[in-house]
Parts: sequence; C-alpha cells; structure tokens
Amino acid sequence: MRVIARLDIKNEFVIKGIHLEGLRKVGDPCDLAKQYYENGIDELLLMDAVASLYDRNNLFHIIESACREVFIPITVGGGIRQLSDIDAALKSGADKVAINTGAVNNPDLIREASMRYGSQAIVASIEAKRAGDSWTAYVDNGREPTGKSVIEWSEELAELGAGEIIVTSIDQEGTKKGFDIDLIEQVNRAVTIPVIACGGLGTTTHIEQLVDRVQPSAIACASVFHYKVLGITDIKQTLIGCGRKVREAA
Amino acid sequence: MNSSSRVAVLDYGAGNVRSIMNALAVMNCDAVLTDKPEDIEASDKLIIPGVGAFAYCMSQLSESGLDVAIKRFAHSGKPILGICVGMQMLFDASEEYGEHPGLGLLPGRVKRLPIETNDAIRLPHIGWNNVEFAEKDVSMCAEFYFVHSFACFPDKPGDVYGASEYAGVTFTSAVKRNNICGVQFHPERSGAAGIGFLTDFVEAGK
Amino acid sequence: MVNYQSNISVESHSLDEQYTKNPSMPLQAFNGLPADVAFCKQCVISNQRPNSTIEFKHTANEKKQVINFDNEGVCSACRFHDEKEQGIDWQQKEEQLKELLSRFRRTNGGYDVIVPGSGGKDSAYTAHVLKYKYGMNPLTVTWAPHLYTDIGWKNMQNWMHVGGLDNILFTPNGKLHRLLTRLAFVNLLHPFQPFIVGQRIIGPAMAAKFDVPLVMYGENQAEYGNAIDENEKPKMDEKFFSVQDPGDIVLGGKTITQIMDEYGYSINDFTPYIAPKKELLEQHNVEVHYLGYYLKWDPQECYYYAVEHTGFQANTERTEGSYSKYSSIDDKIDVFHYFTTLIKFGIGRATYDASQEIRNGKITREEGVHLVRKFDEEFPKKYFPEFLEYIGLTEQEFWDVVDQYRSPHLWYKDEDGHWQLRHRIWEG
Repeated sequence: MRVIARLDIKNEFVIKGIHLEGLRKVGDPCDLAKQYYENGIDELLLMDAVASLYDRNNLFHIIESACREVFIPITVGGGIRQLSDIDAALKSGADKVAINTGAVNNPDLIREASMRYGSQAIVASIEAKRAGDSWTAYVDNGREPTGKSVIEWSEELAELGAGEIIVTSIDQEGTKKGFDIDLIEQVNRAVTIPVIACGGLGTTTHIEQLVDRVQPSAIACASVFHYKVLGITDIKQTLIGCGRKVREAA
Repeated sequence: MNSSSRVAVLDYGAGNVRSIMNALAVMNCDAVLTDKPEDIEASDKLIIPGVGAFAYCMSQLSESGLDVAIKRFAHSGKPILGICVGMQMLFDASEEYGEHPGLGLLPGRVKRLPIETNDAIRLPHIGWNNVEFAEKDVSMCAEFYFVHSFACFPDKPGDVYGASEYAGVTFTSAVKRNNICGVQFHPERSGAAGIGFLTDFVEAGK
Repeated sequence: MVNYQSNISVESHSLDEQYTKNPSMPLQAFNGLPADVAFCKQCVISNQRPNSTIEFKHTANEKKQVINFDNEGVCSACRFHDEKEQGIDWQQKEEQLKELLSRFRRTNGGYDVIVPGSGGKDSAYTAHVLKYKYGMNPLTVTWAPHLYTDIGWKNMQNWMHVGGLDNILFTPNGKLHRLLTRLAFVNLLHPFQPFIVGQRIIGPAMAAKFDVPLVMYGENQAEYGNAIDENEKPKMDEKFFSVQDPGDIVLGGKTITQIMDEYGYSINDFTPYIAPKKELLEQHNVEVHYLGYYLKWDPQECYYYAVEHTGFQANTERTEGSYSKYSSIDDKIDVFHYFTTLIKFGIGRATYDASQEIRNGKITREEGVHLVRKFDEEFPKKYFPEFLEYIGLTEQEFWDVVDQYRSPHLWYKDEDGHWQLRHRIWEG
C-alpha cells in the first residue's frame, strides 16, 4: 500500500480546509514536499485548490521547483480541462494528472488523455458527499453538486480509461475523524484499477479500521502531516502491523 | 573520473524528461535533452524515457526519424537505457491497444501482465516493488517505483537482468544485453535507490 | 391582499425610457446614494454600500449613509483592517477583555453573559471561547430564522450538544413575522428587516429579563464598513436596540399603529419587536459589547474553530450568489436579503464575502473581482418558490416590486429589455 501526501495549494501556500472549505495557510509547497520526501513518503499529490474557481492554472512553476529535489512520483490536479493542460503539467515535471471537474464537463477528456499519455498517467478524482445510503459527486473543490452517483461515475471513469481513482470524502476530509470506509469499500469493489482513499485520517486506529475492511492501493493524507499529528513512519508501521506491504522509508 | 562522458536524453514528446534531467543534474552528469540525431550520435550514452501509450510513443519516434537514430546508436555499441515504455519499445512488438511494432533491438514481446484483479490486486501495477537483479553488485533490497499494465517478455532468458513479483506473478522488470539496458520501473522516481541506479549507469565504464 | 404600491413614486420602467431618449439627463440616484459609482482600490466593495441602519426607524425614502472612501479611493473597512494589522496591541486588548469578564463572572451557579446568535460559525466561536477559554457561563439566545434550513437547524443543535452550551430559542409569532417580512419586502425591498430588528433586540432584552448585565456579540459592524470611530468603542451603540416610544417604531415601512389598524393586530403582538426602554437597561446595568473589539476577528478562523469544537458543518453546496459554503447558511430568506442588496446597491453576496476575505488576506483583489464576476448576479433559484409562498406574492408581482427599486444611476435596460448594471467592477 502506498502512502501519499496531499498538498492543496493556493498561490504560493499550502492550505488546509475542512470539508474542502477554508483557506488556512499551513506551509510552503516546496519546503513541505521536500520534507515529506526526505521522511519517506511514497508519492506527492499537489492540488490547485482554486483552479476551477478562478479558471486558471497556477501550479506548474511550483512543480518545476519541487521536482528539482524530489524524486518520487508527483501527481498534479486542479483545473486540468484539456489535453494542453495535461501536456503542460507533464512537461513541468508531473508524472500523473488528477482530473475531476474537467472529466465531469467532458468525459471524453479521460478517454483521449489515456490514449495519448497512457492510462497510468491519468488519475480520475472524485469528491464524494454522503446522500442517504449512497454518495453524490461534487466538482469545483466540493462546491457544486453534479447529481452523479459516485459509484456509477467511478465505473464509467474506469471504462473511459482512467488509470487510478482518488476518492475524497467531503464529509470526512479535514476532520481527522476517520475515513468514510463504506465509501472506499464500494468504490474499490466497483472498479479493478487502483483506488486511493483520501479524507479523514486522524489516528493510527483509523488505518486499522480501514484496512480491516478494504485494501485500497493507497491512502492520501493531508491534515495529519501538515499539522504534524502523525509521522510517515507511524503510518507505515501501522500498515506493516496490519500485514500490508509498504515501501520501507528510505 | 572521465568528465567528458555525455549522456543524451531523448526528447520525443512522450516522457517525463524533466525528472530525468533533474536527477542527472544531481549527480553532476553532463546531460543534454535532445531530438537531434547529430546530438545523439555525438553522445556517449543514451537514455530513452517513456510515459504514455506504446503506439503513440512509437509513432512519435518514427515520424521524427529518431527510431533510426536509436538503432544506429545501439549498433555503435554505446550504452542505452530505456525506461518504462522506453524499455518496452526496445522489443519486437506490443499488444497495447492493438498490435504495434517496436524497435526490434531485443527479441520478445510486450504483453499485458497476466494478473487476476480482485479487491486487493489492481491493474495498472502502480507502486513500489522489489527488483531482484541478476548481477550481485546491484542492491538487492531496494524498491523501485512501477506504473504499468504491460510488461516485457524477452525471448532470451539471458536478456533478463531483473525480475519482480506482483500478485504472485513474476515478470521481467529489467533487461540487459551488451550495451542495451532497459528497466520497467522509473529510476528517476524511485527516491535514493533510483538515483543510485542512474548513477551506476552514468558512471559505468569510467 | 397586500397593497404593493411602494413609497417610491416613479415607475422605473418609464424612467429608464426617459434616460434612453435623453442620454445627457443626469441620472437620479435613489435614497441619496452617491451618484458616481466607485469601487474600493483594495477590496471590491463599492461606495454604494450602506451603513447599518437603525432598523426600527427605517423608511423607504430615507437618505442612506454609505461607507466612506478616502482620498486614495480606499474604503473605511480596509483602512480599519490596515489599522488592525499594525496599530493595535492585541495582548493589551485581551487583558482588557479579561478584566471586563472578571467584573461579571459568576461562580455560584448563574449565567454571566448573554451571547446572541444562531450557532453559525461566529456565534459558535464567541460562546464556546467565552465558556471554555475564559471561564464564563454564557446563555446563548437565538432569534429564530424566518425559515430554518436543515443545515442551520443541525448546526444549532450541535452547538448545544457538541459544543456544550445552554440555549434559549425564541420564535416570534409566525403570522405577524411573515406579514412584517412581506411588508418589508414590498415597501423597502428589505425582507430581512424583521429578523435584523429581532436579532439586535433579543440580546439586551434577555439580559434585562434574566438580570445578566453583559451581552457579547461577535463582530463589530464597523468591521464591515461603518465609521471607523465606531470601532474605538467596544460597545454597541444603544440606538440600535433601545427605543423610548413604541409608537415610533417603523416596521416594513409602516408604523406599528398603521399595521395594527390595517391588519387587526394589537400592541401586545409587537412585544418581541419593541426594543427595551433605556431606563430598563440602565436599571439592569446592561452593557452590550463586541468580542471583535477585544480579539482579532477572522471569520474563516471562526469556521475552523466551530468545526473543531461545536460540530459545525458547512453547507453541502455553494450558497447562490457567492462562492462559500459556510457563511450565513441557516435562513432560506438570507439569499434574498443579498439579492435585494444587489438590486438596491448593485452589491451582491459575493462582493461582501470577497471584500472581507481580501481584507483578511485570504484572497487577492484580482481573485475577488473574478469571484464577483462569476457569482454576484446569480439569482437564488433554490428557495424562490418557497420565498414567494412565504411572502404571498406571485412571480410577476415579485418582479414588479423588485424593478421599482432599480435606481437609474445603477441600472438600465439593454436592447433585449433585460436589466443590466451600469457599473461592473470587472469592466474597466
């Protein structure tokens, strides 16, 4: 299982919200990226928190800087709307792109992008909010409901050629109260591509609870790292304790 | 140390070249990112990156005439390192999105990993994995980063340089024959272990 | 049947025709608003933004006091904030707060501070921090929203159950409240007025009733643009919550006496809207303070605090007319309040929200302009049918009323007959 550090970025700052709302600044992107790399994180996820809101792309210069000293996979998301955006992201040093709003507005983007760049470079990103017994997908950083069922949408995305799916629970993210395990379980069951679980990690017990029921390919964490609640080693030791294979921090 | 050893990194519009260049910069390598056959020919070593679909990458090579440059370089005996799709293209053909011919420098085919997916096992194979190298002087314990659904199946067992296991299936994760080397993983994305591997490639023969 | 002839005597449609035919005619500005529209150079508010009114004296034709812009074109709220960043010794202010609280703190079983609020992020923060950081014993008091949203109700309940606080929820007579809302909408284009009147009164009124002299609100209205010298005082001016003669009270553009005559209500029905007499407040030594005077106020940090301590949850979707999900989400009427400020002053919700976030350093002015462009003029569709039903108007009647309040210096009709704002911050 991979452990991924998620950095939501606005302009020059890493920010951290709750329920994808709020812009509290928590650090410098390049500093944090380097720090997590040196502490053994497996991958980095850099999300432009406001790209859709402001109809712009701002992260590429940050990726360029981060890449000079960080030699693990980097996924870039936020405001990826067309092939030229993907091109620019990969050229600046990203290995993968995460796409949410762009895919909802134009599902063919996933198909075209995976044919052009290979599905492994295309991560479909889903923001999920609980609605009764199921979940609805949101776009624009949790701002606009789409009316799409998360489970059906994840199946469609996999069929379109996405290489991975990252599913973020809007209800749990930023709260440090635990994962939405039902959500992750159902998405994982719905597809055969790797699923990255995101949103809610607060204690090592949450990891044990998650892994007891479902084996996502990776977990993405933000609050616990940015607020120094848990270390990367803590998380990896817990996973090893649960019998998961993890990369020894190097 | 022979400081005039120059490494050419192929720029053909499909590959995460920036990470490779950054990694090479860290080891003070004299590296040049190029799409010009004359630059390639003038270099001492060649790295072929590769991110993307096999067919697309091959068409980029053939349209630009760089496939010819690669073959010429290979026949010159100077070291080549193919990374990920760059490794896959060294072979005869791939079955990704249909049948597509490769460079044919190594005999064999590229096929989908014969994995049965389930709750815990997924395709593409994305993540860190061990590589058992044929040569003992390469670190046995290091983990490298993989991201692929297809793997190389060399015809000649002697070409297999490194093997990995995923979901109970062993597959070829590195190949080597004389001056031609290929790795399925991304050394430029494999942290310190990857930097070490690239350093070995760059410094070898000095 | 409500007579919806407003006090504004000219029909704006025919006015617009006149201006189209005579482009050199000077444009009339309703309510004495500044004839030239300007936007603050630092935030995105315009010079049309009205200051807080004494709501129970609010008439349709009154001249509006507006936010001040200085010679450099910067608004007083930005100046106040700049001052906040530099000039103020917050440690000293906190000492002042502690000293104030120690005067009132009770340790023998009894409330010692009234905190008015709805359980939204600001009052959630205020009440919780007073109790758990400063050791006070607050009684929170809530003047019910006109129409509770589900999320608003849930947050209010969590305020008590998760936050660990006591609360009194006061719901005024729904029939009268609804009538007042309708009158306020039609006669002032200000449907939120009854709520504002009640909300301001309930703190001091409860203080007098429970003999708890200290009332603590969250933010000072000056934070949002009243005269800067209002901020030098920690207390709310009693003119906002005290009145001598109930006959003076004007609600929905009519005096209480008129409403009683026309609709058959008695003076007793107006009990909740009658601000306490000055003498009564003096008798109980009631003091109304703003926590924002003593502690550096950051509404976004209030959000984080409320989530972490009082079970607050942001809304599931973006508020229409703006971009955030956590501001003022408990009343379905709220979006129409901002829609009416758009009509009357050309300022929608996004402008208010963005201006505040620019001042607090959360977003840049450029981003603020972009947000205003994207969201400010969005019509609140979601609760529109419910709102129409609540105030008893048809859709056509709604637009007839609304159109009467479009001041010519702000609005004109384009070739397709659609109303457009003359001045938009992103154009030039």
